[in-house]
Amino acid sequence: LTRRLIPLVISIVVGLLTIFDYFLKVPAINDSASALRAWGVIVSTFALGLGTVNLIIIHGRRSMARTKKSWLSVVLLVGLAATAFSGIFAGAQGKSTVFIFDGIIQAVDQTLYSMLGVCICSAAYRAFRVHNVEASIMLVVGVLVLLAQIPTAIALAPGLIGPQRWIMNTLNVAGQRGIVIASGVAFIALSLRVILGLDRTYMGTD
Amino acid sequence: LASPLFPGRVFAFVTFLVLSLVILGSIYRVRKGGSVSLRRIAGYEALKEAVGRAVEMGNPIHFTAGYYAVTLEIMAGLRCLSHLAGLAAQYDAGLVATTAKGDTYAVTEGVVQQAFFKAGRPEYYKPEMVRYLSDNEYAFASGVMGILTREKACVNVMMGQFASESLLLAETGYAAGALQIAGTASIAQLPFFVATCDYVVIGEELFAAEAYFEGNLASLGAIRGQDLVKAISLGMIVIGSLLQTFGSNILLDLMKK
Repeated sequence: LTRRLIPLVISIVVGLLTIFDYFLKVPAINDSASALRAWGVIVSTFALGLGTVNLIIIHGRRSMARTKKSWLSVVLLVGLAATAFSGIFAGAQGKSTVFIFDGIIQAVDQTLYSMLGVCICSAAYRAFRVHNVEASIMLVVGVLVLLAQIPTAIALAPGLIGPQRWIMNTLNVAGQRGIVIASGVAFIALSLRVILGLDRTYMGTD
Repeated sequence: LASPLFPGRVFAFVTFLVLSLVILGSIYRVRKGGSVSLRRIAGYEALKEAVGRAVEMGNPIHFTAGYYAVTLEIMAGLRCLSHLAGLAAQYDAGLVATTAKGDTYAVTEGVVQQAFFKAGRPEYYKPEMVRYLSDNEYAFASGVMGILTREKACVNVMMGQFASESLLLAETGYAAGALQIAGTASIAQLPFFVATCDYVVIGEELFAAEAYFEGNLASLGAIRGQDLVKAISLGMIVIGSLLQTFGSNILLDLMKK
């Protein structure tokens, strides 16, 4: 009973405090909610430790299994240890820490981000392939919207701007708002179920 | 006497109370014996097919709820994972669930463990099934991309909240030849999923997971409540449009209060 009751009480109190903090100008509620947010950061940090333990266990086992790809796990563990040591002993502004973040992590981040361009092209190619009526409509609409964003195309055919704006501001926005309103309502319904303990997925129970 | 409400949030507060009452009233009515029928959602139906495919091919199913810490979208995604993990346990299919945040990892682990326990096969649960990858968005994405290709996942399920990594994951899944099922309420990521995945669960459908899979009365009641609230919203849109057309700002001024 305690295993279920305590998390339930915590979720009810935290949920209601957070909601009332947004609407009510009551110092006691606002201060409590602010403290709760700070606690949330602390709890998340401890959970990060839990994740790191999982990472070490899985890749530690793989490193010792001595398979063809074990070296990948060794690289990961060495990288993890090097970053942790650098952060602890050299500090956040230390030369080695700055090198790890600016010289390695940021460079890899940028590389992966730039891969998005290639992915967008290949996904668009597949989406625009004419194989049924819907795909044909999508192709026509997509080409029209794309053309109307190219200065040369607009200079050659200024009439493209009108239909492009109508597609983006009327059709597109209407569809998006439909999804946003329906999702927003579903958000409220799920929040209520969680706060009242009717949905306990987060506890790993039903 | 000063109002305890923040200025500009009075209308939102009243709306929240009304909508909450409608939803709670619907839950109460359905619990008292009302019935609710749900339409078929192709993405959810495909989860069974996905497990069958994994069993036939002998390759694992990959699941991720996205890059974020626990949010409502992530929780809805985890409800799908609970169902998927239950099926995987039942049919002895491989499963790898990846997470990017510590708290999401802790909750995901609990959900998968519980699903295996509920399926009557707790001994089949392995800690390697739930993996924490990285707190960094692109490091997480590259970790998932590695798992999809190196472990030859034959099914890629992405249900939850995603950022720009969504397309990287979906394109890698496509390149790996995986059956892809995705779901999110993030407007910016939906087009990517629609373009790259076999099945897409859109917006509110994601939040209907519990009602769809478990059919419990509270969730079904909430779905009915949501429909009523949507009808009220639609009515407000029509009234607002008419008022604006005839030059009245009454509703707009009311909403600003």
